[in-house]
Amino acid sequence: MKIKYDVNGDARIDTGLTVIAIFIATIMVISLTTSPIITGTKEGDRAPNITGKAYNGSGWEDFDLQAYYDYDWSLENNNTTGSQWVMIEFLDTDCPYCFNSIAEYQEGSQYFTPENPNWDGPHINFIASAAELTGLKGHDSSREEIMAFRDKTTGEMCNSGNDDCSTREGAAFAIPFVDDLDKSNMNKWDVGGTPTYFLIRPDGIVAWASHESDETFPQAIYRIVYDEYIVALHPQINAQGGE
Amino acid sequence: MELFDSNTILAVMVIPMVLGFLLISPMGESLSASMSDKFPSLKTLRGRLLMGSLLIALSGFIISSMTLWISNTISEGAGFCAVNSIFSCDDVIGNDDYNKVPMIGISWAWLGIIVYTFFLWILMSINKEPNAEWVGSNIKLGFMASTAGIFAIIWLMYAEYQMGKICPYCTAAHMGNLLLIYGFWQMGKLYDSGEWHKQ
Repeated sequence: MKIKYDVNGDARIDTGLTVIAIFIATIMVISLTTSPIITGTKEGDRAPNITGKAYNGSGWEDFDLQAYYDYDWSLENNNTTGSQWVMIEFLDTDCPYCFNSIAEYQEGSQYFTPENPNWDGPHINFIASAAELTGLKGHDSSREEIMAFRDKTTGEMCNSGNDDCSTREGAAFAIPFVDDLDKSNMNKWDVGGTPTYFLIRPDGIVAWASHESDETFPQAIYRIVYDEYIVALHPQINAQGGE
Repeated sequence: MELFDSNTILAVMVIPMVLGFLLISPMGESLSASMSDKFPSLKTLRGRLLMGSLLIALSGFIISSMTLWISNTISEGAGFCAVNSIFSCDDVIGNDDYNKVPMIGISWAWLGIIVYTFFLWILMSINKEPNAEWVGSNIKLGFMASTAGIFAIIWLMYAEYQMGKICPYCTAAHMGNLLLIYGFWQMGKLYDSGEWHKQ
């Protein structure tokens, strides 16, 4: 019997189906063995990194936000009270609202720490990222202005150039102020205005973003860090008097 | 060195690429002599070029898939690659500033998988029907696609320079692309000379 060949048959289609099958099988294996978390600034996203120079009171030093993270952290497997969270404020020293509300952030940076007997939660690392919102009247910041704003020293004008930086409310900070004058971190975090706050879990996941919420940052810390993690892990706290 | 650290895994994945390189290189004829009884296609230059290129593309596909796996693993917060001062795929693949294809927005890992899937399709089709009339255009297509990969390699080398880190997995995938340029070029030369169909 003479074999009839399919002259219209094409190895390309046949092979195409084989290759697509290999492709799909590979993607299935990857998706079944990993649970990727997208990088972003919505709650549940992995927070983008912040790198650069930060002023810590004595000088400008290298800063890497990821150095704060403990990737092994989880509610079940770790000592939640010993884990360190991160609160970040994106600000501009010339932004009037930042200037007028900064005292609360400074107080928060000293309150949410185990050194404070009134706070029964983990240490929360407060960080400020100072940008320069160019194009707005009086918004011409500099490293000297950031230092003056942080330390409350005289000689630099903040608040759109209207007030000396030393006249802001609250005490001097003891937290790092990251130089984001070129707005690179601000853009990476999709921050549309200042001040904007983010609470980051010890494993680097965004727990709360102020632009997605009506809460203030202390309310968010109490709700998320205290109620969801501390009380959930140690229910006896509730029984002892509903702290 | 741990038995299953990232470098060992990469070394295993690169084995088909090395074999493929040896087959398409001028040494291929002598090296394949001992295997040609079991694999008769290796007796011809066409067979060696096809088999060698297929092994390179397969290795490139696996390595690209691994970079996507690493990328996902990093996003979970875990590290994968062995830590070294310069060689660190975690730092390169996990760098949000450089790990996506400009303008397109997909990760380089995804692009690598797609491109190597395309190479596999081209080479497997030719291998299945080497005397079909479309083989010449498929070889040209493969050569053009692999040559276009040079731009991606240059860009990623620039990114690695900026980061001060080298990703061994990415470098292996780049090497596969460069070897495929040579493989497709050799196939094109053989095809244009008319020797392709004689084999």
